[in-house]
Amino acid sequence: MAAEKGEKGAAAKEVAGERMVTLESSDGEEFHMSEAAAQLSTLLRHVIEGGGIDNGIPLPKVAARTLEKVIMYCEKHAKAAAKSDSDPSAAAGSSSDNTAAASEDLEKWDRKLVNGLSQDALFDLIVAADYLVIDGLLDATCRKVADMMKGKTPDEIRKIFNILNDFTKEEEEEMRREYAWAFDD
Amino acid sequence: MALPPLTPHEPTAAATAGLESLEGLVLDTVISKAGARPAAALACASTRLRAAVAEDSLWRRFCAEDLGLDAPLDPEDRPLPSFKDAYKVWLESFGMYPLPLVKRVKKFWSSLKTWLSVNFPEAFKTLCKGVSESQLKLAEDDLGFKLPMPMKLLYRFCNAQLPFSENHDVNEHISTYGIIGGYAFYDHWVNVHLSPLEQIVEETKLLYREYNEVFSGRKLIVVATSWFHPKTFLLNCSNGELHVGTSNLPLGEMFPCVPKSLIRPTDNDMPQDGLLLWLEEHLRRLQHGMIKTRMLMTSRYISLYPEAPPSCTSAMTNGVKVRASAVFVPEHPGSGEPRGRYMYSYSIRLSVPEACMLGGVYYSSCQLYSRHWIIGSRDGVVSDVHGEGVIGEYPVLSPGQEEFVYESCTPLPKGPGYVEGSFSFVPGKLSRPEGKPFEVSVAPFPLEVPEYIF
Repeated sequence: MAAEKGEKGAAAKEVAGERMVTLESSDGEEFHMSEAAAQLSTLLRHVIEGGGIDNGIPLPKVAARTLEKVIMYCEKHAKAAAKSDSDPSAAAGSSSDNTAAASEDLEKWDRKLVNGLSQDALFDLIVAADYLVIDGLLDATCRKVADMMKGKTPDEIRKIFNILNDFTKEEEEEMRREYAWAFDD
Repeated sequence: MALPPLTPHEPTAAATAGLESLEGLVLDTVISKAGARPAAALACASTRLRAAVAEDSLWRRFCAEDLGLDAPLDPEDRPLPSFKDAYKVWLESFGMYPLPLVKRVKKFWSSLKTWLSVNFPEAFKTLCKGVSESQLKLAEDDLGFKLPMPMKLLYRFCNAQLPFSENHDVNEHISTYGIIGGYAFYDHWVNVHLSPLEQIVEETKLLYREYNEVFSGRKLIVVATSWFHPKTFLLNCSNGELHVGTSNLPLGEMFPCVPKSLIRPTDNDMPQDGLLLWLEEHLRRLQHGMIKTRMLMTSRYISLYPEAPPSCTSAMTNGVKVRASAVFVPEHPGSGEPRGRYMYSYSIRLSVPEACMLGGVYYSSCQLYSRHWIIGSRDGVVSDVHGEGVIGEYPVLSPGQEEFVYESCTPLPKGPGYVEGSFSFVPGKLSRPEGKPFEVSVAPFPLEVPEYIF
């Protein structure tokens, strides 16, 4: 297991002309993602730049089904970034409509991704995005949870998020008074 | 056999990684994206979430985003212990209005007050504390109709200026301190003050009593009036439009003061009425130096003659500078439909900023002796006059002195027009000319009924 210093990530292999990295989920499954996609994670970027791990990068905090979604997100966004970089009309500045449409499509894709998740999967993805430091994914997932709260009463929030009401009767009264401004009675 | 019902405090299944187990900073991110009202609902859901929502940095952000509040102060600028307390106090006081509008009106008054305290502190001192919701309700009951929401919010923050009282001396003292301001030419003096709520009700009732047939059922209120010569601004509470009365106001004749397309009194998120738009535009002009204060003897006032291009033109000849601009005068007897014409007043400013030079020779002074004045409209020249002096004077100009300023007026038939001309000067003095007379141009300046009338 001789990892040579200075050699950028022995875990990085070439696949169809693209450098790949291998990731290992908490439940032992192996995943591959392009290096370009991995760059979206500040954590992975540091690990790769730091000189490489032979048998892949272990991620004991991220389960397989979550890691799969993470990779989907990163690959999609890395491709979109590459496309807009290589777009000749982007340089000419005449394609502000194109770039606006492209980013709108990407946003739609992000929304579709988070909308398709169960609540458990959504929270796992938030935790993973936070741990791996993927700002865009953290933003999209947090926004989804935030949207789920809008226009809801405390009771509705407890139901949606499976929260135990551990207030005493007096505390509940106190809270109602403190936040009376928020509720149109 | 039916199962006993679950008590409301028992969850049916425990989530493995739920909202409550999110790490602090991540939970803060979620809550700040959700907003203040959802945060309140969260706080009431469980003790863990109550603790998370108590984080004052969240409320600091909500105060900034929702209210434009950057310090924990109450609506009267008194300090509060936390941003969370501040948000609560503000919502209790202003929660009946859409927050984006609250933020906008707050910003307006704060910016205007800042400008006034620096540039016109005498007027700043005439501003009164805002009225309460119940005072607004009383006014609405008294008038018999509802007031537009933006107008009410404006008055919640500030009850405009001191009223014109029974005491003549008090009135004289504040007479030129109108925050809208005005102009003075010949015997026509105008200075517009924004009326406090009590005065609005009083003057509106007076108007309806005197001219009942014209105004009954129209839901117009008098929001601003002029000290000196009458000039009346009326807000239409049905559609949010703002108008200024002509001298034929008793017959219902008025000009719109704000472009109609901008008026949206019933928009859900950001209703805007003519009064708010008019005041904001006026503030913008003050902030950008398009209009400035001047002195009338020892009293400061806001002068409505434009000071900046394109309405104010400037020309320099032989070191003599002439700046000129005009203002539309809707309330002048010369303005109005029956006559089919409009009255304008213009202000001419003469000065020698550095030196008066003619043919390589510097002169220490020069004196005006005649004018050539041309007034034109789209259809051609309306008037072409040669005259002696200006308003009966023959000003002497010296380098570095303050501008010699004079005002006059001219009627114009409907449609935009212009004024141009020249003055004849002699170097030195008329009594002792030091050289040959020379012409000084007046760059043409526009005469037109503006989009915003003040």
